[in-house]
Amino acid sequence: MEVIYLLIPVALLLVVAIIAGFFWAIRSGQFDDLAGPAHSILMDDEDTDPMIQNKNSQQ
Amino acid sequence: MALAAVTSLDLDCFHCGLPVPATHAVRQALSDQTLNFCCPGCAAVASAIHGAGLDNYYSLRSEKGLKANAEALEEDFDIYDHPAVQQSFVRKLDGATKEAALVLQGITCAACVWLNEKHLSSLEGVESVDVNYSNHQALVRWDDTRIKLSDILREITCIGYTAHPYDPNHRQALLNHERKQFLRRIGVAAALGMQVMILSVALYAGDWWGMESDFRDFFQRICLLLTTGVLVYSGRTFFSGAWRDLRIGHLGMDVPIALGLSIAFVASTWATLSGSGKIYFDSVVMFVLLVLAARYVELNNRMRAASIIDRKIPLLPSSATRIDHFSNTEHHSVIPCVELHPGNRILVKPGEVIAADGIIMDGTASIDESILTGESLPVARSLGEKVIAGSVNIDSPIKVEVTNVGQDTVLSDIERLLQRAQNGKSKFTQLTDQIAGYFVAGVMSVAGFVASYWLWQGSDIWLQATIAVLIVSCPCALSLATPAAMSAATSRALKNGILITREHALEALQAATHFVFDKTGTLTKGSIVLDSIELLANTPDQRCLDIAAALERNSEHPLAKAIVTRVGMDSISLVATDITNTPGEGMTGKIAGRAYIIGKPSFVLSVLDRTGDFNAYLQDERTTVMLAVKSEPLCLFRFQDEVRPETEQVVRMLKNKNKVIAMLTGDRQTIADKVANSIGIETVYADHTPVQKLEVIDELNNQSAKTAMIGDGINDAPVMGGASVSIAMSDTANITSANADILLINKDLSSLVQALELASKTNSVIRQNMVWAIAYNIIAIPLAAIGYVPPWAAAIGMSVSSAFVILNSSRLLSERSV
Repeated sequence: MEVIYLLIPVALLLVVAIIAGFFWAIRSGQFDDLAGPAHSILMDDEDTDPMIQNKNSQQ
Repeated sequence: MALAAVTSLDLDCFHCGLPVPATHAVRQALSDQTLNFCCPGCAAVASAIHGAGLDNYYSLRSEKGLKANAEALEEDFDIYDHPAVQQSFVRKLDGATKEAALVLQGITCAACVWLNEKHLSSLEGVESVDVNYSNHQALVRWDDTRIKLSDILREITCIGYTAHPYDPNHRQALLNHERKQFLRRIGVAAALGMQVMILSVALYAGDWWGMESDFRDFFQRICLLLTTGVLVYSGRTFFSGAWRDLRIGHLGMDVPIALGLSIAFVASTWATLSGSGKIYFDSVVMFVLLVLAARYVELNNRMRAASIIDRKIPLLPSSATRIDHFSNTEHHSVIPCVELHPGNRILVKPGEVIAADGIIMDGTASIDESILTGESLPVARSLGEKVIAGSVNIDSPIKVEVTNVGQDTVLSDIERLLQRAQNGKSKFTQLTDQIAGYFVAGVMSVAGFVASYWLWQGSDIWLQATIAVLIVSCPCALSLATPAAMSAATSRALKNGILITREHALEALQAATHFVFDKTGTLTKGSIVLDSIELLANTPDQRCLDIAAALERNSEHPLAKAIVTRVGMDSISLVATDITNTPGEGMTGKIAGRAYIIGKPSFVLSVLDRTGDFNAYLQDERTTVMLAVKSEPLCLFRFQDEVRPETEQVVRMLKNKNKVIAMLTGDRQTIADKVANSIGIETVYADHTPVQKLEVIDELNNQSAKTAMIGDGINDAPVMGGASVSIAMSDTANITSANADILLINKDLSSLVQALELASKTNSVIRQNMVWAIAYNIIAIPLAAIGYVPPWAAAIGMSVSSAFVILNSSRLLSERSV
């Protein structure tokens, strides 16, 4: 069971890493818009391809 | 995909969905079909969208686009390339890359976000576009050597949106900063708190089944370390809040929280270090996390409320074009708005936002005052008329003499009135604040009593019970009950063009039993229409109208305009020559060689020299016009103030709600009766002077009726002061002088019904909040005092209680609430 003296500090290091990641996410604006990206998945797929885009406008 | 996905059979504009005027519809072929547009602007926008291959927008959007204005397409954006102008909203990144923060007007659905991002990022030189759907901000990065900011702005206009520079000093930015700080605190509390929880579960299990004391001490010390982290980073806000409260000698809700946390933490630390006694680290971290989460939700609600207001109240431009005169030549210079002073003259080009209140000195233009009034149709303003800061000049350049700048503008007044309502301390709020103060004091003494009682009893639950009492009590539910609901309600109301200026207004409106309406300008439009034609000779009435319209077509007199409006400017078939105007009296002119006279009956008859014959017609001089040829009177036009179309429905809906309705007017009995009959009002007090009007209201008040007075807020100010709640149909120009509790700034009487519904909804939300807050505390505190509530349950109970109040209030913000 002595391994717990190793595992808990490791867990704490992980927590520190998680918090660092979370702070980065906040700073880079990941939480700024929680409504828009949900919609963007519906829209982006077709027109990145110019062929399909042309077809769209010709129909 | 075919554009036909959206039906275009009806005569609504394909782009913006407004009705297409039958006389000048714009038809344009797009892909394989011809579509109807209401104006060239919308057609241009649609073809720009189509041309960029972005037709998807029309199938994906959930709301119609905003009406485009053709002139904005030609707006001069070059000013935005100026480094001085860019200073406030553009950041220089490495190299030639720049980043601008913009606010996009016209975003109504997620498809708009998509359209803007797609269109802009397809431009040469634009590096990235990021449109935020929640707050309608756009961050645009571009390479300054390949494209200019003005080009980007022009492109945004081309697809039908308007971009404004985003001012970071805005309240939204401050709230945003606060929100990020909150998120970090919550994140730390959650991440560290979870570790504490895991270890605590192990410790609880150890208590049950036994555990080596080495491990127990190790776990407890780790818990101590983690909890210290949570308290120092995340819980600091409670301690600084409590300290601030204590310093100003006020018992706020942070005080018991801080005290509870301190006692629990110190006791647990002692237990850890001495190796005996219970630890409450799990309760501490959970409490911090849950209270932070509840406050975060509240902050988000406030941000939503603020963003509704921000979208409604536009940013003033940062610069204006000042006109100076040097030795008789006009000199135009672009100056920052802070340098504008009353008396300056500014040039406002089409598409520009007017930077200050002022009077038009030259030019006539349609002004879009929708941001202030919610009214989507622009109004015509010409020489000598007032324009207000924040409204948009739609079609032609005007020169404006500045009368008010900055804090003195109508726009600032609106913001101030709004703040007064939102922050204003009504008696009721002050009372709940006071009660909350006493409540906290009470909780502290109960906690002290509980501690000493259990200690005296020699019971070891004293610590647990004391902590639980401090934590479980929820003064915040009590003190948030009213303000949270009010701030949501006022924001919601403003969105519909209802400006609530005093906090008690909604409460009083719901309680009102008698609705008393002023007539002119309230039930009626305050504008004149032609009511009837009385023929005095054999000439048919259509002929009389044609003649009158031909004579009056260029007159500015309201009665003349009413005749021309009736006939229609485009369908005037006759041409009058030799027109002479006698101001205030009437005019003469020749049509097909015959001389006609039109004007006040007294004027016409005196010209004809037949004053004696028509005495009967000389009474209603204000509302009649006579037309005559040579010596023969042809007809008499009678005019009437037009009743607002929505009035009848409003009266009916108020009656359905069992409200008593009356009309109170200074106008003559016959006219008042006619209007009253047409809209179904039975009680009419006509011919009343302002003093008599006030007597009527006082009399009603004496009969213990609660009166709501609806007027224009200017002429009947004293009467409105007498009513228990006053509502003004306010012209934006009069906002400061309109001394009313509620202003219907969209000038739509049906908002009254909306306001009433919002009022009853708000009041029931406040009542629910209060009942909840009181009931919760009455039940929870005694339970905690007798030791039935473990600290962790107290933490959950308290947070759920505040969350209930906050979420319940936020229902008022949602679309469906009105």
